[in-house]
Amino acid sequence: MAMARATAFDFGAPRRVLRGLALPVGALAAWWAFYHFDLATTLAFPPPAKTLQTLVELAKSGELAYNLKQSLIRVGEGFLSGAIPGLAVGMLLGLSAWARRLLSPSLNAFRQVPVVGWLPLMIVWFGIGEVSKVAFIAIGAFFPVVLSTSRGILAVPKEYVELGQVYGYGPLQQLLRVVLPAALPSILTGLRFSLSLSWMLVVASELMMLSAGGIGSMMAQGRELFQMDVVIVGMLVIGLAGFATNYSIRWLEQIASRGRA
Amino acid sequence: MSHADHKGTPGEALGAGWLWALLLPLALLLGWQAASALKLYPEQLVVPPAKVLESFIALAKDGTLWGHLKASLSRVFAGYLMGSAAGLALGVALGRSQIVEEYLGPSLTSLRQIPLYGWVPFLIVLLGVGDGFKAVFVAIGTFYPVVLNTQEGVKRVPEKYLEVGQAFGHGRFSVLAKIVLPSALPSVFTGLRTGLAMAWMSAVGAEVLASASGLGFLISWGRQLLQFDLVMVGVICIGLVGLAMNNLLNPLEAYFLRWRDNGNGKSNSL
Repeated sequence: MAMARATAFDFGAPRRVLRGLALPVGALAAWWAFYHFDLATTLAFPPPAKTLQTLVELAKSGELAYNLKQSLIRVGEGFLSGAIPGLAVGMLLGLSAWARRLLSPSLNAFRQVPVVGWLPLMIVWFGIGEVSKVAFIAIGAFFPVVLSTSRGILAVPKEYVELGQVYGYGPLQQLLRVVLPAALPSILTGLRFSLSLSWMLVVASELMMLSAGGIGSMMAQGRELFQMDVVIVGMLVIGLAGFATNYSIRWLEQIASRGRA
Repeated sequence: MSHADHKGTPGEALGAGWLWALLLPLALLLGWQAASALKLYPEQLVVPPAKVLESFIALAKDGTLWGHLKASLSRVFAGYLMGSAAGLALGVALGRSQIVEEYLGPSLTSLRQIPLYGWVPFLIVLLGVGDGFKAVFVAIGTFYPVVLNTQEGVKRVPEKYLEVGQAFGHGRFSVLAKIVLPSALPSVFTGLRTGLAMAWMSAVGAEVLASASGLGFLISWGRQLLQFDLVMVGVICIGLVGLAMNNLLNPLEAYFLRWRDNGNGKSNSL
């Protein structure tokens, strides 16, 4: 990709940026023109200035920060309670052929149930409180981590393990010094995918269950009151938050792959 | 460490593999039966397996189940068609043309940061809660995996192949149809398969949120009526359809990729 050669003296870079901005700027201009020239005043769509104003108001009143915090806590709890068992099961599947025979078929079948299908069952078992939401996110976060961990471990070249034997490593040392480091890039990819799934599921769970705060419930309220500006602010904030967490794992991935080179 | 056998597939001896595979589900079923027989939990929370089977048969007989299934499937079909057609077209354009990539790529990447369910309130305000909203929602869910994988596959077509095509005097579209698309096909199928799973998930989600028919509606309705056997039947059917969909594209993929020795369509299992 051209990103790699985009240095300060690359005159292709500004052109790329300009072209990339053409569509968003055009869309924004059309949105603004729609209201400025009175083309439609009855649409359920708020003008851009009003949306910006709503963003500032929600940020000033602390409402935005509170809702973001609530969603963030749910994402954190759900992601961790899904990813940690996911790592354990993935390692088990990667290391033991017995575990694969026993568990893989069932896990593959369970994986086919779309995560949202679990939600009513979660509500039956855990009520509509925080436990349901966290358990729901955890189920979604679990499977990608299992898949990428077991695949990453299975793909470790046999030579690495043999080299470890030459060094006289015991099983634990093999795992910690050879197998896991070699599987790390794959594991991190799974974690990243699982985290972005968690963001999707936190919104889904907040839309489907009444909750104390959360960007999803802020958007649901906005929808009920036909406040499209609130809905758009919610989409913007949740997109940025997801991007930020995603980017931080990508950064870890880069460090991990640099360590290998 | 039993690491040396890492090439061993789980079902080496296929007969024995099946037995192993059934062990865990059987244990779960036994545990479920035991928990409900011993009344460890209230019957509303853990419905006995027999009762779930009973209401499954009842729902299948009076046609309710097929009605819901049909409603869900037609939503998936409409949305999947739109989403994958748009994804394929845009994916090829983005992968083949630097200019298209420069104009559309950054916007697409930004929009992709919005979690799928973040679109729901927006779409409902714009389109209402009818089938239009559901089709568009399913289409968005389908679109991203298809566009990304198609773009990846098309971009990775080796330059040499294209040169050979030009040497044979193929024109722009001929190169596209005879060289670019066939060699991008494995990646395209990965996108179509992931897209179908996303389409199913989006359809069920939309039905749970706002619908009066479909399997997603069945589970949320069963919950509201406190008839948890309905919920279980719904969850099991949703899972079975998901499983069927995952295998639906396998024969198609095997057919299109029969000229490749490694394209056996098994890329998606643990």
